[in-house]
Amino acid sequence: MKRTVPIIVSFIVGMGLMLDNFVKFAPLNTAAVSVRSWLVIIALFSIMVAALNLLLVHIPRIRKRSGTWTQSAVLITFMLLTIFTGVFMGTKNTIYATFYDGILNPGSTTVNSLLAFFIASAAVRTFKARSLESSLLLLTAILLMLSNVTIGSAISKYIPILGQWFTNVPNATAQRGLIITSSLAFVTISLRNILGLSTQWLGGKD
Amino acid sequence: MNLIAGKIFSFLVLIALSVMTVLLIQRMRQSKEPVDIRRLAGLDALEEVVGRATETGRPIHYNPGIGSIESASTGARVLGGMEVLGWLSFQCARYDTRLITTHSSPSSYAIAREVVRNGYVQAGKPENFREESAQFLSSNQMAFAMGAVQIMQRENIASNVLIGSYGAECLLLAEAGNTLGAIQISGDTNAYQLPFLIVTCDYSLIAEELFAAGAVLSNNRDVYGSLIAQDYGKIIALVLLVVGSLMVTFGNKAIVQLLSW
Repeated sequence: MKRTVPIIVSFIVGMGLMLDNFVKFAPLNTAAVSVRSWLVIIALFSIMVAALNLLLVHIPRIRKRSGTWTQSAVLITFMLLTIFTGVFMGTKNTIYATFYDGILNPGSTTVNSLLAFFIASAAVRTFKARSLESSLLLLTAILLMLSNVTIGSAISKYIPILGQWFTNVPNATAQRGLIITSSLAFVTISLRNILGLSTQWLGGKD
Repeated sequence: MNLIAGKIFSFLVLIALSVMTVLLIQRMRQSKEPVDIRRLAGLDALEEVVGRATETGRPIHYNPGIGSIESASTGARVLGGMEVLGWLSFQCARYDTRLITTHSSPSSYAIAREVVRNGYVQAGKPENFREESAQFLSSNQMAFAMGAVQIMQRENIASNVLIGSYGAECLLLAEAGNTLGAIQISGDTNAYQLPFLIVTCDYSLIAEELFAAGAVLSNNRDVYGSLIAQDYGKIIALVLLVVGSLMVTFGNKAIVQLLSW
């Protein structure tokens, strides 16, 4: 029962939502709208489960004063403060807005900007002519970099044209190939789950 | 009840693919003939991932990215990753190797927790499951990435498995794993993130390989049937592409009209 009922529910809901994309049938279309709105409720429940996990992982760490327990204390304090201010004082409240605009946003932007250095370090490590494939990758990368800066066209008027060709022909072809095969795989993995062939997400045994 | 114009051909293709999948699953159930599946280097390396972590006594880190399971665009990729996670958690439970999974989406965390716990149950060691095995970090992309990087560094992971749906955070995660000298396996279908994963990881599952991974690891003949159906789908798509291109080149738009029927 523990596994059979969810498989039946996922089969009915999966098939219904799939048909909703192709068929004009008022009862089905209305039901699909309702089911999609349930997603919000399910997502809310999963947020509660996730918040509970944070408490279960970090509170024992704080209690035992083990490892990076001070960071756990900061995390739990600010999580509870944010929930408290958001629920009781509203999301327009200055304290709540400060948590968001003064702490979270600058932190996110800072980490995002680090990506430039990570890209550079990954590129330095990768663009080495160790084999035929890596040499081709290196040459294409140099050509594309040159085609995107003014010095490229100053060296030769053909560099931007060649760069454009690489982007529009081999690159676009490969990307479309990926999209087509991935889409087919999307369908089969969805069918595997709708038909109950992949059931790991259901957890335990019957 | 009417079919929506412009989507009739897609609907017929979907029905054909579904029927083909079900028939091939039934055929695989009845036949005993061995199935020859192309080996994927990334999947073969998964055993190395578990082996190295077991030998060194260091944990394995698994991360499915920022994609959520309920999203139409990322859900299938996260599910594909979960199939790999199921196998990984079972192996970790068998060899008493620590597995740490970090999550950004609350829904994918909830599913992953069950998948990991199921792995421990199947291995007969449910008591070894810890809440730390599946950790929710943050819904904010960069906060999540930094949290995962800190856990990877603090726990000095031996292996890093990044299979799921990624955004810009994939480079942060993979570069951190690279700095630690961890063996890394990645998988995604997002063409914008794949180059980053390919250059930073030891092995990568590209596009459909991600979805095949779970099927291959499951060693389940029913699931192999769905893989064969997928291959037939690819052949049909290829024939349509070649025939369509030739017909359009010679001025015949019959295939274009059929596709937009």
